[in-house]
Amino acid sequence: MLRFLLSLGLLIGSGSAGNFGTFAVVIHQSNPNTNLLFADIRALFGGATKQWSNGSKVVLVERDSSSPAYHFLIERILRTTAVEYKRRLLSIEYSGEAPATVKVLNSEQAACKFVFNVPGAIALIESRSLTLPECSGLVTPRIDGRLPSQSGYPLR
Amino acid sequence: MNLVLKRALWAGLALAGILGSWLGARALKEAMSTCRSLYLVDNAGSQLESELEFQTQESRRAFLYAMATSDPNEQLPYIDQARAASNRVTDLAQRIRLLGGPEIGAWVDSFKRAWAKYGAARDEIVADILEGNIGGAVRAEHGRGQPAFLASLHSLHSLKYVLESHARADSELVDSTLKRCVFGLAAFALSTFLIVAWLAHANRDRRLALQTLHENNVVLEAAQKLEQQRAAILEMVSKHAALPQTLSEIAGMAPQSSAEAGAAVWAAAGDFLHLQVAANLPVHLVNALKEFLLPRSDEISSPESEIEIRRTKLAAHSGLASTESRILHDALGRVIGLLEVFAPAENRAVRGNVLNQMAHLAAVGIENALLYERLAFQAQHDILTELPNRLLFQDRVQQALQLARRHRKKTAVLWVDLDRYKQINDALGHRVGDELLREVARRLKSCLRESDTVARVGGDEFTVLAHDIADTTAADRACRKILKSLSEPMVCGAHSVAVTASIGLSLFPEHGEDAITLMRHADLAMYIAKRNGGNAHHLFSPVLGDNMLRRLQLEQELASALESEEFNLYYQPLTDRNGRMAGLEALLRWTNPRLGRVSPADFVPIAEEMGLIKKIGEWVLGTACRTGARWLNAGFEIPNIGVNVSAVQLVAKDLAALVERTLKETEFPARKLVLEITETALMNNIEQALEQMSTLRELGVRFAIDDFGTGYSSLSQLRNLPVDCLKIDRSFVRDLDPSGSGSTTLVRGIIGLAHSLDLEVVAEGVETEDQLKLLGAMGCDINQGFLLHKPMPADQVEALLKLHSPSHVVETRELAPV
Repeated sequence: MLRFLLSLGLLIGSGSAGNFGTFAVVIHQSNPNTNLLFADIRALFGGATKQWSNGSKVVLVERDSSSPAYHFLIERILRTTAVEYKRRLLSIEYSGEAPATVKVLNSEQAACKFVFNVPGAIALIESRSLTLPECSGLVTPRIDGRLPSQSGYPLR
Repeated sequence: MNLVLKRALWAGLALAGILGSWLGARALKEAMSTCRSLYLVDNAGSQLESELEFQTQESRRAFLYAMATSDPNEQLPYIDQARAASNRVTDLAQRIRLLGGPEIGAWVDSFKRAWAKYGAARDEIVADILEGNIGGAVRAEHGRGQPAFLASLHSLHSLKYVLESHARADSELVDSTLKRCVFGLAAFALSTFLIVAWLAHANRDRRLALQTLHENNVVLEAAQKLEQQRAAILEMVSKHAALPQTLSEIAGMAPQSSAEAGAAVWAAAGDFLHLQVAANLPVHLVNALKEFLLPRSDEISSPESEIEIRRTKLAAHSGLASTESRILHDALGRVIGLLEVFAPAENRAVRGNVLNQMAHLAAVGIENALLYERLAFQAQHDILTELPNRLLFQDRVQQALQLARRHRKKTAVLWVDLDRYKQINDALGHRVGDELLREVARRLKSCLRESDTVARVGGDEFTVLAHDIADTTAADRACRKILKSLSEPMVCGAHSVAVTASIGLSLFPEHGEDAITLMRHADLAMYIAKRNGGNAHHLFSPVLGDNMLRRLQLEQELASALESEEFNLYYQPLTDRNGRMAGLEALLRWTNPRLGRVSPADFVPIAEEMGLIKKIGEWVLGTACRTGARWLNAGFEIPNIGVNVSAVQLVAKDLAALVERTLKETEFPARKLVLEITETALMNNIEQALEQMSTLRELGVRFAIDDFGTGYSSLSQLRNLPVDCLKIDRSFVRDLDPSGSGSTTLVRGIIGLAHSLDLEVVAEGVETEDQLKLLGAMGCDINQGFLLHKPMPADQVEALLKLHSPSHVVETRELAPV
């Protein structure tokens, strides 16, 4: 009985929406946008912002659907569902209005490498992945004036 | 050339060699440094060229692949591959920059700049690819990428040209340096050789001295080791270690000249020597040698003997030869062993002194073991017959009983005692007696099974342990067989002797549960057989056992009673018809600490059988006379003292001499001594008695016939004997009857007869007034019995004598009113 209750508790815990860690946004080292607002992040990942301030095209890096970063993006940043998000991205891409490019990468390392190679790229990764060698040449912009290590950081 | 000059020359040559080798080494170091630098630069240049070739082939192909797919997960590895190759090119250029020095630094920098331009172009192309802008990427490749790459290649070719010219110049430098190096090395080798030769020459004498010292040390160590081994072996011998162990240690003393060499020791066993230890020899040779039994004589190592020839062949078959051997002798010069060393024929395995020491130690070890074995045998065996002794026999009985108990079997213990052995021994001498015992031992063994045990437990006493006896009948049969065998005449020296034996038999479990009980009961049964006349066997029974036990105790205690002063004399006064003291009879009393007071009726017959009665009689006579003399000297009037004489004393020819000597020593008057002789003893030994009595009569000694009426005296004999008194046996007095029946008539007749022969009559055992009155009426002169006086110690007799003695009577009367 006790084992059953524990298993049940774990299931409930894993099903709840509140167990995310801290996430960071990474951009190319040549990108001058090092201070962003939470609303900017929503606009960038939601496909509303298609060009950076320096004129380069925004390239969105999307993590695979099983990753925590993907779920955090859907539930906490965009506050929508995965199906709805896919539908929105497809409509943007095929609307013919100079859509933002979306690249799906299946690891934190691949995401960092991609951002390193593409000046207009932006990716959402777990903040602990910032220590990976692949992520070392990237820039982590402040969100609402705070870095991931500071209190009040919104992507938490 | 004198020594100083010689040394100066050696030193000069060595100095030149050292200088040359220093120069050579320096040149070599320079050449090696240059070569290394050249090699590294050349190697870096070649690698750089290879990397660039890779760029032209693999890197570009990677770009094509990257461009061919739209999935960044597939594009990124190719891009990584291209970037890594580009980085390696940069690194190599940097290495050439560092190794090549300032002369080629400008050329390398030029190349690096060209390559950086290509890198920038490539990064843009990569971004285009990843963004999916393939058209832009292709355009950038043709527009900027390829020209930048070609410019880099051109710059590299210029660099390589510079490197080649630089290397060519350095190569010449290397050649000249190597020549100097060769010269220096040659000088180094020469000087090294000279130095080594000089040192070798200088150390030759020291080396020889060291070698001698080493050899001496080896010899010393060997001697020390030998001494230690010797001490250890002697300690083993002194501690009676097992012989094979000791001999194995001795065999181990032989230094091994080869793996197959070893020593063998034969030790005495009976009339032969048998292999005791063979250390380090091949197993097949040892097994074969074990089959040899060498004759125990001085010819054991005779080379022409058949055994020796066979042994030699056997050893040769194993590739060995008996290289050394020593015959081992004991202190008396008897051969007790053989030490033999086997080794490959060409080797002399052991030095002579070592072999001698080994032989000496082996002889000591074997002799000691034989002695120890002999002592151990003697501790448990009888030396004369070599039969087990009492101790071993008891142990074997105990073991047999354990087995019998487990298997529910009967076991018999026989106690065999030779009849008349003492007489044979006395008559024919100890040598014949010993031979007789040995023959008895042989016959006993021949009558029994191998599993049975025969032991000698005393002078002429043997015991037999018979296992697994079916019943009493089987034990009887064994006894009869033994008796029959022993009864056959035995030839002992020049004599033919016939002996018989008495055998006692006890059985387990009926007659005892342990060895000691069974042996004691067999001994008791043997006594019964002997008392019945000997040449018989008797089975123990518990009833007889108690009686015999009592008798044995009496015998045991009686043997030491005289020395322990356990005997004492009581005196019973005799009174005449007027109540006056007519005499005293000395009566022997024995009080033993363990048995208490023992009746003379119990111990006198045993003392007679044991031959002790003569000594006891002497003591009684001496004590009685000494006491009587003391009383007389004290002024007491004693009519006489009667002392009993046994039949054994009567037969002995020295009775008269003894009495005479005693009277003389004690100064007791002969006329006051009455020797009382029983009627039976007197009549059975009438002739000897008469002679003794006549001699004593002449001295004045008087005689009384004791227990009269129980024997068969004839009147004629009575008349011829020098007798003064008849003592009527107490059995007649007890049966006296005033009515005239019972023994009254007989007593009256005895009294009449005595008076007719002018003899006094003493009635013994008077215990009632009626008996006293009747005896008085019949004319009996003297009475003795409890009614009148009980036997009393000497001090009580003294008190009585004071009453009867006239001088003391006065004193008594005077003292009476008080």
